Amino acid sequence: MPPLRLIDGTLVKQGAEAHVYKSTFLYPNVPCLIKVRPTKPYRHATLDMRLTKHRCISEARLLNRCRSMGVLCPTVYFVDEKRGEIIMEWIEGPSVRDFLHNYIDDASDHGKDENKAIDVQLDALMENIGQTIGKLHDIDTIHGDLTTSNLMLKPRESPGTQVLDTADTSLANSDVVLIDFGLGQVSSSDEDKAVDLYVLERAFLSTHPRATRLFDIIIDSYKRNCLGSSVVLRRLQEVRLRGRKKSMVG
Amino acid sequence: MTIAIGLEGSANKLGVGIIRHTPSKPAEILSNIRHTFVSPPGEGFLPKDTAIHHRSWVVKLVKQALKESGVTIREVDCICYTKGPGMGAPLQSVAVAARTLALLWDKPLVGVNHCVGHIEMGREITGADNPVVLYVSGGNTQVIAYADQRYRIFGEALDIAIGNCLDRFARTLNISNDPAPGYNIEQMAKKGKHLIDIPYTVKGMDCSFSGILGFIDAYAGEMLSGAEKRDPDTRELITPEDLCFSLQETAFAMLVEITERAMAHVGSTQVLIVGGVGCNERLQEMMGIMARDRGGSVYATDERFCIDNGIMIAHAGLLAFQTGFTTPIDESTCTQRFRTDEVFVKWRE
Amino acid sequence: MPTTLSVPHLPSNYRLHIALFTSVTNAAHLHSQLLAKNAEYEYAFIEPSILVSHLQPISAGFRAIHDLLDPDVGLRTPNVHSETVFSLSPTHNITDSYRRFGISPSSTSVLAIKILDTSLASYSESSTLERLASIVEGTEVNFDTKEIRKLTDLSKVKKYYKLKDLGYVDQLYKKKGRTIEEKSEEQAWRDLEGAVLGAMALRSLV
Repeated sequence: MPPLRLIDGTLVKQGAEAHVYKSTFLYPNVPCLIKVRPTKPYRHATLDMRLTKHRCISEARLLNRCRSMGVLCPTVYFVDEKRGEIIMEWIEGPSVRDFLHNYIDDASDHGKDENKAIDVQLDALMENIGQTIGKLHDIDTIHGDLTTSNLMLKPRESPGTQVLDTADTSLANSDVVLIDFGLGQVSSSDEDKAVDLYVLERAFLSTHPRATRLFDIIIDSYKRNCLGSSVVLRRLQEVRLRGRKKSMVG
Repeated sequence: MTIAIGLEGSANKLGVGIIRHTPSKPAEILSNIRHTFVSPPGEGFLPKDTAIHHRSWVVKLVKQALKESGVTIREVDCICYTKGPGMGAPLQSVAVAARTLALLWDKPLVGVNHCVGHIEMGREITGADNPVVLYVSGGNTQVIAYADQRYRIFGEALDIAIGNCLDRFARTLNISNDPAPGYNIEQMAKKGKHLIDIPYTVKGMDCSFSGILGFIDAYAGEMLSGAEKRDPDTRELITPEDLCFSLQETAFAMLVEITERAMAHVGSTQVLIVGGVGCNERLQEMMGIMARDRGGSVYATDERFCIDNGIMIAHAGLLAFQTGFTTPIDESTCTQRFRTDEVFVKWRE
Repeated sequence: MPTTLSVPHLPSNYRLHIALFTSVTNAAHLHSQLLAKNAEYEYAFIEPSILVSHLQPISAGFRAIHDLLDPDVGLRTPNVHSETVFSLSPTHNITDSYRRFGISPSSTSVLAIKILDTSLASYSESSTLERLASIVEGTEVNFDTKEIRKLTDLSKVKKYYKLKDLGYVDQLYKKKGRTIEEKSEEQAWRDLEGAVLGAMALRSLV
């Protein structure tokens, strides 16, 4: 099934899961993101079609659920589930991953006082992330793939807002936006929410190994802001131990 | 030039290997012998019986290895053994043997992490320098990438390992454990053709097999007690071969997916598959397709090295030994739980 | 004053011709002509009170043209104009969609859209726009979000698009006694637009 010319845009990312293009939707001043899940030749064709369609539909539904209920994520503009394509709102701004990466590189260039100022901003960002995930779990939604690449920093809308770059650390004017819900689901289970956090913890610490302190702030913020946090965090302890305690025979 | 003898017995395979390292030359395998404890069909291998097996065979294997390699006791520089992870009693048996040799021959001991053994042997044999590693065996399913002197775990099975899943599935279908349940599943899968819709579970960089196991246990159980299962399209009867086929296609697709995610995350194009399940040709094929799709390649070793063996312990042990690492006798314990990322990989940048 | 527009990702020879009218006096006539399936009146006559932004009807037109051109999908209604009205709906109920999102005899404002393949020899932009400007008896205003929002009936929008969950999490936190930063009016409109566009996009997945 060839796509209906739906890929009029510049390839922005060729991720493991999908190809992502930047384009415009309806009007030249409405930037959009086109996400295409290509067939994976290593998979059995039936399995491949089933997975692609399921993930496309699942993602579109979850994005819409979050957007209406008040968790920041891109607006869904158009879905073609047979081709595994979603057109959604373009989120301007770096991913938290790129932002942290640049910060860690920049840190060595600054004097001590500037570092302190940046630290305060970073703590605020972690606080925001904890709140956002807390909100997500409070609407019984599991992201399924929480990594710092799936958290975007979007400058708040006001005329003349500059796009965030590494030098501009005015994080006070940014929102944390969740993207990439292909592995997500609706669930009220504490186990699922704990695993969601566990995935983020592992992804966070493996990508930013010197950032343990920052991750702790995320958990602390989640604890204070998410209504169901105490049960989930207790469960998280169990999930962590499961990883450590697994009988690794053979 | 340094020579090490390595002893491996963390599960049902007892391996003894002797390796020689010469500067600026590839490692030389002087001997690599193994003996496997095979349990009857429908049964798994128990720690007690496995330990007995290892104790019965270790002296014979060590003698044979020395003879084959032509190495004298004097030439051996260190005794390497699997410190963990693995099954308690079998690990202990082999550790006792290692300690005995160390005391008898007056040689230093080197405790080795089993997973690191697989990784280092894989790198040595295939020449893959810095690949993403998929380590898949009866007890382990991990996606590993090297960074900052640690083998960091990027993704793993959250509940049971793929090999364990395959073994238990073989048990349900009464498939023979000789030479290995996974091998027999692989051969049966080649004759299967209907793809049954079974649970596919990837969560971020991790995956989960308990869903598959639960489903397929129930399904196979129904089949074996007489219920007729037919393919919805062709109306043909579903066979155990179809089950093996479906299990592989689904479970391996999950492994390839989490490996691909890690590769995208760290920006790598090379994959190295190690561990017993890494012998599976379908898994290698699928991984290869994915790697080539990304402009890279897959590396795998043959059954001499993917299945647990002593030479990988000798090799990894020798790498550590050469950085000055030894394990004092009173610290030469074993541990059932020994995370891959706990090892300080001093021998790499 | 009517607007002509072709959209990215669809063949550029397909164009939408759009005009928005207030103080409309001939809604009953237009409605009866639609029911009579009079070819001269083959337009998408949209009820503006269910609109929240200019993107909404265009998105519906996009879906209609896309489905028209997709051999695996095709139209579910008689023509691309009725399909446009149907595409405003979050559900598959066609009759409901005409009733809710199309004009009624008592409509006082009308959004008219004509979709044509401009590569056809019979096409003339000037006569299309002339006809568009005259077919509705009322005052033509700019087709833009500012004008549209003057006509929005919020309770109807929330009802027809089933937006009871809109802003749920903030309500939840308020109930628990937290102070929630009030959203600006613009942000509230944006959220509404996002929810509506999303509901339309997900129609095929329901």
